[in-house]
Amino acid sequence: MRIKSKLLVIYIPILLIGMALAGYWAYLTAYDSVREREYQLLTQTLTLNVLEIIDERHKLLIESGLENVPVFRDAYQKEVFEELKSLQQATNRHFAISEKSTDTVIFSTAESTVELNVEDASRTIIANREVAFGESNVNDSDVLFACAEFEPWNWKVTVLQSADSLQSSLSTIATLTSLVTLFTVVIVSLLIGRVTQIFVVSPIEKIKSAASRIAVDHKKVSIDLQQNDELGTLARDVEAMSGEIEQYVAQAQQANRAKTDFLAVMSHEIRTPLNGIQGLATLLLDTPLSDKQHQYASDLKSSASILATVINDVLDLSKIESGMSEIDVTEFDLDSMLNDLITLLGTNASANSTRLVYKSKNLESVAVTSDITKLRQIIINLVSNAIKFTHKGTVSVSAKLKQPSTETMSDNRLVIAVKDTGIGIDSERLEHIFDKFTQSDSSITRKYGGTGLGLAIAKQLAHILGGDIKVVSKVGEGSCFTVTANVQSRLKSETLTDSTSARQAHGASLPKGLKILLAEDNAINAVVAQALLEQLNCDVEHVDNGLKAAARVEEGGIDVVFMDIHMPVMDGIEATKRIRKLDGELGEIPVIGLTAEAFKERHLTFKQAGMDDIVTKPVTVEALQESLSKLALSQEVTDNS
Amino acid sequence: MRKVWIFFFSALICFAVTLSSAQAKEVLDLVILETLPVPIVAESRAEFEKELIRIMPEHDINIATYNAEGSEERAKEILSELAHKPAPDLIVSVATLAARALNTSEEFIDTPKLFMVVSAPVEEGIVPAIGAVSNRNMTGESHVLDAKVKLDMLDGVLRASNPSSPFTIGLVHSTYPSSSNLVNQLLALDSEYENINLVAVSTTYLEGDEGLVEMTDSIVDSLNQKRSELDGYWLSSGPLAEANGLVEKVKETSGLLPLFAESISSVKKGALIGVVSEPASIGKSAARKAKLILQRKSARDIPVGKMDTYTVAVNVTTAIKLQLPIPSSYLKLSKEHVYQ
Repeated sequence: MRIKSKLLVIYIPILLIGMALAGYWAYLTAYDSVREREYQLLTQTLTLNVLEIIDERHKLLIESGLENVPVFRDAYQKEVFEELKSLQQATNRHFAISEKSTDTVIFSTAESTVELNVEDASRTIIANREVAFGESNVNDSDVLFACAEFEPWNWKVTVLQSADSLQSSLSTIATLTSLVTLFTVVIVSLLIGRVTQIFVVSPIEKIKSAASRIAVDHKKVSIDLQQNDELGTLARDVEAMSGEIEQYVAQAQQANRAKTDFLAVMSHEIRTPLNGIQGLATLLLDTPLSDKQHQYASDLKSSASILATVINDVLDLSKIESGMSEIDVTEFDLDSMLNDLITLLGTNASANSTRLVYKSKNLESVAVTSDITKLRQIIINLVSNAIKFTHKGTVSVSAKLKQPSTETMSDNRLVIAVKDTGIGIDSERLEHIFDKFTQSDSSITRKYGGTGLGLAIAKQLAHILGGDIKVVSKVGEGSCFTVTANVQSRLKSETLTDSTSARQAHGASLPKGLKILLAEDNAINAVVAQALLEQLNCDVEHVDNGLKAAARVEEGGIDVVFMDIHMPVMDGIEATKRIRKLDGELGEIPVIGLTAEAFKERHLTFKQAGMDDIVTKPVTVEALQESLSKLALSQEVTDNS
Repeated sequence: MRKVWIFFFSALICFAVTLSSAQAKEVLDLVILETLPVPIVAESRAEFEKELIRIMPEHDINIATYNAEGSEERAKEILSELAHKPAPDLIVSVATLAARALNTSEEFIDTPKLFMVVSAPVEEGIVPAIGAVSNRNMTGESHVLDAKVKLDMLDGVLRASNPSSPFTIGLVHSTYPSSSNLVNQLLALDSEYENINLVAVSTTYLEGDEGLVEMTDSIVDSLNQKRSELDGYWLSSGPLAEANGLVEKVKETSGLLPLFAESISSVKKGALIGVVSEPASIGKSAARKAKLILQRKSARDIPVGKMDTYTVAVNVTTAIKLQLPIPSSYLKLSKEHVYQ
């Protein structure tokens, strides 16, 4: 609820209560006033009208000496009765005259007998006459009355008035009071709302808007608020704070860049020897070894592989956190990609006596457009985790698109669920499993290994893809991770199918005796790379710097160049540029970069220098083969076109 | 030096003479022609003279009064004689016959004329209607109430006693113009009042004091003859109303009492109720009109109207005797004119 609404929600009831109390007080005051006025009118009618009518005639009789003349007295008393009848019609009040001593009614304008209880009546003196007045019940109706005596004629004169008019007046007052109260509440609420808007809400909204801008831009803001009150001071403080935030953010970004640079350098520096270790271990395993030696070599390769994974994870996280991870969108066959992954990871599952199954929905003959690398990484992380924590169980991967695809490219939502029957996760630890360097239990780290970065990276990548990862789990029964991502999809065209098939076909058979020039300054890495390439039936020639490489290419007879980046004398980038400047077919020789730098933007720089593909160290025979196959395919496609 | 003193005194004398002549009051000549000196006529005329002198102190007012001795012919003779004299500034006629003679006189067409104590100026042919102006350079006002108002008042008194049958009232009058005019009006309205039954009791108008005595005796006889059918009588206006001893004689001979009278004196003598214009009011009102005329406002431009001040008088002894309670409103109006 907005602050203005909150204030009004608070103000209006308070105002309503206040105005209701004030209105009630006004009503009571008016009630007393009206009652007082009615009694005043009644008593004045009695004394100033009725008794005056009587007294006037009595005085006339006295002055004319006719007081004791019955015919005159009777006639004048009749005149009084007639005048009271007229007065009754004019005032709607009733008049009664009775014999004081006997209470015998002499005259009455009321149709029924009037018996009043005057004992509790109030008394007052008006025009030197004592008047009793009050309220009584006559024939089940409330009446107001006033009565006085007229001694000379031994009369008791009474004026009666229905209380209905009083009730009606009070009802009108109550209605008016309520209306005025409501009207006042509405007007005052509007005024309070307006005043609050001007003096409180508007400044707060300006400050809020500025805070939102700070949150998004991390820049210094200026708030258009000239008040010299607390909100004005707050605005100035926010302005000052925004300046500091801008400064801190700049410093943080600087620090992050420095960290990233450091990691990149460290990555390169670690990967280079790691490349050697991994490669040499691979080579060593292909040599005749005793069982014990084979085991050592195998463990050495595994250790190197784990170390490479750790380095990759750290780098990935670093890239994501520094905002350098960008979406590289391509169209691909998701069903096929997932099938490949299942096949790839199936080996690990089998090693853990676990069954890995895959099923899909709405994915057949569908081309999906997304960042295949990130998606693959997410699935590998989740499936690897599931396999790792499932022993003699089942890991099932199911994928579906929420909307059926059409021939036209349209937005869709991808949902992939990775479900296992493994050890499960304690509910208390569930909320922390996506935190960095966190596993559900420290004992798990000791038992299963891992850095605790996999899920954190997967979740961050899912966020980058416009989705998320949710998990439900039960200890001892297993877990289910559900990945969602925004993708685009359409029914697959023939071209895509053919192209993919062609690439698959080529990947299977590389031409024999390819003349490869390997430019690598690190001797161990050179040995490894050369050995791996020779496993692919390539004829490898080695040089140790870029200048030599460029020169060798210029001499001719080279089919493909594998070019290290960081080399003495001339680095790989410069060498590639030189090669590209060569005339004729020499300048078009495929150059594949070999680098320990894992950041994509660096890869882009290499490609801009003229490299056709990049293979990241530590190099594997599969990576080399895939890169060569890709080149061959593109070459073929170019030739065909 | 001596010559200077002579010149100075001569100039002073001239100045004094001039000043005294400038300060001399303007002299106004008035002629009053009264019908006969009955009390209402004489008293009204006296009040007129007194009031006029009071309200016009800057003038010397010479008033010549003539008595027509109750005769229209005598009034005409007086006017003929006056025609040979210098025309006065204003001629005032008092009572009907003098007013009639003055109005019809051709000698004084250009002289402004004023009448008072005339009950019926319309019937006398002075103006076509009350509120109209005269084309004979004459104005004035009637001093009596409308006949209907008088009947309403009497009806109010009678109704208060809840009579079982209408009161038969003898309308006592002479053939004197104002008297017979009023009676005719009352008779015309009689049918509108269920409590009142009017019967005309008439005598021929006779001039002079002896005539008044003869008229009185005639009326006493007439009422005595009709006493069985009458509950009371109405003493109409005119000289008869001013006759001495009429009420007493009637009461003595027939026991009848006057129920309505046109003079205060009649009420004092026993009339139940009377509504009249007092001579003081008549005289003062006429004096105010005379002042307007003397200040050069044409009598032709002053409409003939009715008096706006009347006096109510009641006699409670008669009321008690007749068992007719006078309504309090009339008793209140009577103020100092409640008689016993």
